[in-house]
Amino acid sequence: MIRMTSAGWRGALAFCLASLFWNLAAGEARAEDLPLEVKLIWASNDAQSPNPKHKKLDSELTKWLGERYKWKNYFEENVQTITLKGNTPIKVQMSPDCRLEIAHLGGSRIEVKLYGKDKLVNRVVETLRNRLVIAGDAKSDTAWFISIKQVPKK
Amino acid sequence: MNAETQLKVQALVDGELPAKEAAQVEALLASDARARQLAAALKATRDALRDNEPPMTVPESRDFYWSKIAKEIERLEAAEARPARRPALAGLWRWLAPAGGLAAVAALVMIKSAGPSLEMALTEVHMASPDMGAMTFSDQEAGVTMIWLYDRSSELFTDSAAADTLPPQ
Repeated sequence: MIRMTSAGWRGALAFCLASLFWNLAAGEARAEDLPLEVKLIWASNDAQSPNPKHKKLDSELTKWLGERYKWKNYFEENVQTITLKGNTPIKVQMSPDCRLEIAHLGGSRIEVKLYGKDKLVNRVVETLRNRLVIAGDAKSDTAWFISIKQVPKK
Repeated sequence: MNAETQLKVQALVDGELPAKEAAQVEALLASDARARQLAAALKATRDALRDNEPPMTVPESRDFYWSKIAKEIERLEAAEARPARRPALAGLWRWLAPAGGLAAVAALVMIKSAGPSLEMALTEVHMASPDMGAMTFSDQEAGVTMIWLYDRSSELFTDSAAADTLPPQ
């Protein structure tokens, strides 16, 4: 059996510990504030939303959605801007039934937990170089879209 | 009792007769005392041979002995040669182990410090219920990652009151 000298082990151990602490410290530093815009969009073929509070959207995103999905009109139900600080997750109530829990995992990685009526539906981990859109069908041949994107710091 | 009958008795003792002939010979044994004596003698001889046959050993040749000796010499030489190499390798290992650890930690630090460019860019989607599925699509040009959920309760997330008022499509 090949043995390393005790001095060698001590040196390697000290180096690994120092690297570990340095990495942890660097990780904390990197977990800086992350401002996000979170939007709930409702898609329909009707020209008007039954809810007058809903604002019709005309943006790059709606254009992109319109080119790929069957719905002609997209209405903004709710839009919120949040700032993730450190690793603390933030709860975002998007509608009476829909809630998000968003956490910053460091770098551009975020974790999004989607809850429907307080029940966890899914968990997504994504690098926010892209806009993240979580979507699904809704009643009466409509659909919902949740858009999450990083916005510049104010 | 002729020679053919004696041979049949022997065949019976050895279990070599077909059923029909065996029955005939057994009938003969029942009626013929000499045939019974012959059968008993043959069985006794067979049992004596089977139980007392000495084991046959094949003599080992000179070459065979020498090959065993040569193998043992080779084994001993190989065993003696190994410790001689150990100190050099141990000295190398003393440096290689910390250097390897250093390289691994350095690689980890570089990946972490490089930021998102080297981070895992994969989208992870975990569904809470096996009844639900997700389709993921990423359009790098538009900068959109779409996760489409398909399930039986998607109406949970919309303004249900508003959705209920919509006419069926």
